Amino acid sequence: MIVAARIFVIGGVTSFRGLWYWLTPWIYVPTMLIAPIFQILLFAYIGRSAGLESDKFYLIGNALQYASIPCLFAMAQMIGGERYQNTLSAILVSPAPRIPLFFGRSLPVVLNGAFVAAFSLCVGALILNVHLPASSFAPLALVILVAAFSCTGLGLVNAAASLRIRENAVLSNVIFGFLLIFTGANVPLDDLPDWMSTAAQGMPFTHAIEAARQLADGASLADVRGLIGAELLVGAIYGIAGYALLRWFEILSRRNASLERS
Amino acid sequence: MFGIPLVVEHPLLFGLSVVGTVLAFGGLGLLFAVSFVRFRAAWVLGNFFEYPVWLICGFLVPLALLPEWVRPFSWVLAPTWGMNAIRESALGGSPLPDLLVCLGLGAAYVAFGVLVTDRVLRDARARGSLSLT
Repeated sequence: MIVAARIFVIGGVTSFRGLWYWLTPWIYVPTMLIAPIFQILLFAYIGRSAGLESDKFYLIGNALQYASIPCLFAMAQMIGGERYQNTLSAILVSPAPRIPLFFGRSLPVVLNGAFVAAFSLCVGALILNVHLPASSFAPLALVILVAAFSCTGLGLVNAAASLRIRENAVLSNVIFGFLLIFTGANVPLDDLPDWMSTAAQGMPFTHAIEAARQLADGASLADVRGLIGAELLVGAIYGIAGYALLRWFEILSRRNASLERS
Repeated sequence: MFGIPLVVEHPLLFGLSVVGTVLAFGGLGLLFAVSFVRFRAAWVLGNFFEYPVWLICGFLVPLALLPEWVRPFSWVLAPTWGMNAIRESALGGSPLPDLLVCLGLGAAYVAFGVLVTDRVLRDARARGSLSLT
């Protein structure tokens, strides 16, 4: 039990720290803290120009959806990066239990994704002069954390793909684009074609964004517990699927000796 | 795909405007490329400027909606003028003045980029810092 906890916490933190050999502040600040603000501003101004939704609508949608950048890219990089540097084989050859090994790597990603979304929401609200009731701060923080968890589940699936493909960044960007369109971040789900709004129910952020919008409009945490539960469920399903895929690809990689080639 | 009829009043000028805008973008890219000599993380610039350029060059939002202080930044960016030229040619206006400004700014980026590249490369050779950044 203690070994599993050590692998979960220390292994996860060490792996996350490994990202910082290239994710310097010169990269982190522009891509994680400034770029989401411009994404929020872009869609808010498109909304103003076209007379569509309010600034609050775009602020919440884009702030939460931007958590997908750290969640998708960091998870993929943690597995793909270790593979690229030939350290993954040393990890996978060990008898370490895989659940704490892989999920421990997810925890710092969830926290970082939540931080990026919360920062974007706060700064975007200040710039666009959007008022969020003080009573919504704590529930919004919870919803943001759940959204980051949910997307990190998808990130785990993305990380598993890193065991089979070399250029995972392209896949991460494609997934980001899908989430931007499908999750209701910028287009109300009612305005999407039926098949898109149906598909959105199984994607991260869809329920969290809706919950955050309701909270910002004065709903209580109890009012949105169904949405939070749905978001958690979506994240858990992706997390389990990601873990299963990682294990499967690990077995395939051993069988085909393909761990270090694409 | 979306059932939007696209009518271009001056197809030839429209084509020229698109090509001119792409060339001006290339000039801007050359200017950014200089930073790779000095900064390892220069690729971030491409990602970082994606949304701001869409926003302040009038691709998706009329410039009149943006705050006054943003406009000088828009004016020194060639894609702003290129986008104006594309719209003018599509709507039947006169795109040539905008296209000329776009190409002029693009040429200025290239000239400035060449000058700066030369300077930065000489500096990197003198310091032996090319592989250190």
